[in-house]
Formats: sequence, structure tokens, C-alpha cells
Amino acid sequence: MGFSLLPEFFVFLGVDVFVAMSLLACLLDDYFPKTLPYVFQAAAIGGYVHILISRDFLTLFGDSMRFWYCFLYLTVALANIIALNVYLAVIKKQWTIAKVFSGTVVFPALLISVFFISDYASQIAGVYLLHIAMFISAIVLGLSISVLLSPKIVRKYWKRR
Amino acid sequence: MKRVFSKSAKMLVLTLMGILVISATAAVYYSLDMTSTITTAANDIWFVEGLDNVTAGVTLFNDNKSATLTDLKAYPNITMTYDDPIKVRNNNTGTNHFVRLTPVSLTGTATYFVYINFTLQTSTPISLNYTSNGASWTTPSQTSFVQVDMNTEYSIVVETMANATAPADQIATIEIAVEVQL
Repeated sequence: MGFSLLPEFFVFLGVDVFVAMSLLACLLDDYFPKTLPYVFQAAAIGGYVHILISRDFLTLFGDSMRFWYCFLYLTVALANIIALNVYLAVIKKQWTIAKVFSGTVVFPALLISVFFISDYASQIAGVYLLHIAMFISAIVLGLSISVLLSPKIVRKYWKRR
Repeated sequence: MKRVFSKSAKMLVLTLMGILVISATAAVYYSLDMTSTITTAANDIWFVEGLDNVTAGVTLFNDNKSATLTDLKAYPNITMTYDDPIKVRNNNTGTNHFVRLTPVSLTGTATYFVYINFTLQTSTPISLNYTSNGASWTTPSQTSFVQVDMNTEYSIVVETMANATAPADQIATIEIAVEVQL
């Protein structure tokens, strides 16, 4: 039997996201509130407690319930990344940083999450989401990189048209 | 300068804390991955007496999961066929299963037998054919898996033959297993 994902993997992924965001918030502390890195660290510790409790009540909770509460934690983590991006773009009006942030943090985090959710879905219900998701993501990624790296070229292209 | 040092210190603390939290979470996940929950379940596949069960001396026991056929005969130079001594039943109403026949043991003289053949009459029949050259038995190899449809019974046909010079009351005892793949 091959390697198979448990629902708790999404909590593990969420913890990683929170820790990464904590470090990023510390690195970019000129743009974010000073307490934010610690809030994210606390959320990561919350994830650890979450998985610990899940282990102790493994037989009590069904597979469906385990999936949904783990998925919820990951969703909260991803929502926080998106919120940070929106905060940078809208509140702080740091368009350049927001663009870089979306290309280097938000998009990869979403893509990795979709990859594992797709893998879990195919394992449970035989539903293969990744092919479509990867295709769309790859197009978006390609366009984002081209816009990010050479906005002038894109602007010229649109002017010509 | 003071501020840079402060930021570095904060980064260091957060990095160390992050590594600690991630490691602890990974350890718990790993222990979770190693946890197996095993529950007992009722089996779906069992034996059922066939129409020839009296002739073949079929006795079912162990909740129909084991059976003995004690009255099978082999006649000299005649193929004796028991069309329906015992059946294999898939009692599940929603799931097809797969079974195969596996030789387990064989005792008894080979001198007076020609063959003893067990065939499970699935859509693709599978059989274990024990043959004798008059000196020793050739034990067949395990069969491949075949599907047994839900809520369906399949007969095991037994064919025997003794050689022309076989006296009465020579005994061969064969044990076979029906292995189930869920």
C-alpha cells in the first residue's frame, strides 16, 4: 500500500503556513503591526494543540469530521495570507510589495494546498481536481511572472493594440 | 544599529520557536500515521451445501467457514464427477469480492490415483488439479483471483479417477483453501 494522507496533514500544513507568515511579518515589520508575528506563532502553537487533541480523540471522531476541522484550520491559515496581501495592497498601498508577496507567498501557498487537497480527494473519493487546478494555476503563474518581471513590456503591448 | 540587532534577535527567536512547533507537530502527525485502528468484521464469503452434499459427505462447521467432504470416491478407470457437492457464496449484497484456490496439504498414497480435481465454477473457472504418475503426486500451484459477484453462489466441482488396478479403500486426504481478497 502506498503513502496515504491523513486529514491531520492539513493542520500540519496550516502550522507551516502560520510559522512562515510569522517570520515574514517580522521581516516586513515596517508594514505590519509589531505584535503580528507573535499572533501567528500563537496560531501555529494552536495548530499543534489541535493535532494533539485530534490524536487523542482519533477513534471518537469520524473521518469526515476530522477532515472538516483540519481543513478549516488550513483555510484560516490561507485566509490570513490573503488578508496580509490585501492589507499590504489596500491599507498600506504598497503595490509593488503586494505584487511580489502574491507571487512568492500567496500563490505558492494556495497551489501547494490545492495539490494536497486534490491528492486527499482522489484518495477518498477518486476525484482528480489537480489536473484542472494545475492547468489553470500554471497559466495564472505564467501571466503573473511576466507581468511582475516586465510590466513595461506588457503596458507597451496593450498600448500597441 | 540597535534596531537591526533587535530585529535579528526577534527573527532568531521566532525561527527557533517555529522550528520547535513544526517539529513537534510533525512528530505528532508521524505518530498518528503509525496508529492503526483495527476492528473485527463479519466475513462475506462462506461455504454452502450443494445438491450433492449428501453423496459427497459434506459437513460444514466453524460458521460455514470450513468444510469437510468425506465420502468422495474415485473409481478405477472411470471419471467420477460431483457436480455440486459444495458452493462458495458471496453473501454481501453490495460488493463483489475476489477469491482464489490454494493448495494447503496432501497426504496419502499416490500409487492408485490418477487425478483429483477441484474446480470453482466462476465465470472464469479456476481449478486445482492434483495428478499422480503412480509414484508421486504433482501438487498444483495456487490459482489466480477470480471475481465472485455479490449475493451469488458458485459450485465447486470435484472430479476423481483411480487407476485401473486400484483396490478398494485407498485414501488420499487433500486440504485446500479458498482465499478471499476484499
